[in-house]
Amino acid sequence: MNKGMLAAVAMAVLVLAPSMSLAQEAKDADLEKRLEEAQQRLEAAAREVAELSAEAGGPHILKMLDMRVPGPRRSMLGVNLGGAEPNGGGVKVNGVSPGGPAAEAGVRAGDVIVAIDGQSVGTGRELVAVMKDVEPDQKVVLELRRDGKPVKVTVAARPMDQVFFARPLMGEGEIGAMHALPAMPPMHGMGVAHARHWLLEGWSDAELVTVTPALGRYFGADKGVLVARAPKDSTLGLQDGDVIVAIGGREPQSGPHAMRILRSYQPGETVELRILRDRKAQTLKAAAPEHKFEHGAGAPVMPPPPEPPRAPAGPT
Amino acid sequence: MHTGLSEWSARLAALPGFEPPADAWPAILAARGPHESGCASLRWPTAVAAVVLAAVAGLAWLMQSAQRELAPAAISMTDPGVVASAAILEQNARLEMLLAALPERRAMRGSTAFTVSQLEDRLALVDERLSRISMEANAPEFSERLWRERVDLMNSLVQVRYADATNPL
Repeated sequence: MNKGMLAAVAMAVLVLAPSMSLAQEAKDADLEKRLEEAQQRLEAAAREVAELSAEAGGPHILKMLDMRVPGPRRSMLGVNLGGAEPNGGGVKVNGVSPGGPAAEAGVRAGDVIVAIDGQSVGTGRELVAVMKDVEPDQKVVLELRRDGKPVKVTVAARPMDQVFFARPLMGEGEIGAMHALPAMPPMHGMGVAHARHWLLEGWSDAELVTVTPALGRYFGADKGVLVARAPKDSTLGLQDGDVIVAIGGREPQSGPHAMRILRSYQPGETVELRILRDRKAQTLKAAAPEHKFEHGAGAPVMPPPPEPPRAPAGPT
Repeated sequence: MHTGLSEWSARLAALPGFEPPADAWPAILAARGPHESGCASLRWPTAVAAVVLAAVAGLAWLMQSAQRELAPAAISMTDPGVVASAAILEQNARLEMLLAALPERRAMRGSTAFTVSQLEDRLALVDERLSRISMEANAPEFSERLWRERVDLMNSLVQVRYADATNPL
């Protein structure tokens, strides 16, 4: 290859390289966008499963349970109880609700609850009776038997209403009906209206990071949730780098926990956030925004209103 | 659009100055998850492909391992208060193991955190109902339906958490 050809090849590389790089970047951006869209679709489907699950067989089960087995209504541990052990030896934990208070405290499936705050529980009904007196957010000591050995854990009981708030916005569920939004009246020529939660509307792109002791040293906090990217909804005035220390007096332990607390606020209710900004404590307070009503896919679009008649031509 | 590592650095650089502890940045990287601590010049498709391949291989391993390890922790039909088919209980146990095996994510997008919290609350509600129904002798059909509901919710939770774990923020 002579020098002339080499120079031509070098020139071609120099000219084409930037455009190839740009094309690659565009391809990368497209791939990233598609991945993000796929994740959003997956999450939307998961939320639909969650909402539908509240309706599936719910009313009958709950009515029956309310009639026959009055249970705890104010606070919960987040366990799936089995039957009583022989000779009043406690109540077996069949399962632990993921992300629930018992899971956070280290309770495991297979443990046997033998006492709550010093009160022995030999059967499920006895456990229910003890839990009736437990206030939401109250810490209780569970005495467990694990592999035959005694274990003690402290569980912060979760308010039941936080669980009830997980019900669909537009459904006719059997519980927590007083918290449900009224159904949107049917409108002529329009599809079914759905409510999109105010958090999904304004907080979807926010990025929340659990504060660890090492990370917290930088921000002056030993716990809480770091707002790595502030929500686009500026109602509460959060900024990048803020650390949410408390929401309405409750300390968020993680992103999902912060969302769980925030979800309990209905539009118009005052949300109070205690934050650290620039390592200084501040309180942000604002009314929770309205949910956004949108119409289902395939709903016909309302035709635009007809243009007003033209003014009559004046005398020429 | 996801936040890149450089944007993170810029944001942290813009924070008010003070002497941070020496291990602050590694802690931040750790909080962001393992995927962003690698070579910054790695191209997106290569990185995504590597992550997806590793995740798929990991999931396959987890599935096999979950199947192998099912027996000891699984709830069985013979346990007091449990009325559900063996298939449902086995599915539930497998999903529990998969969920437990997924890496903990300290950083999460708002929509993911919302969805996870919603699913977890539903599961807590179903568990509360299952607990109460275990005290009721005449409700086997309700018990089966609740267990199915729990499996559906667990399946969704595993999928969301898995997608989140394999998708860099």
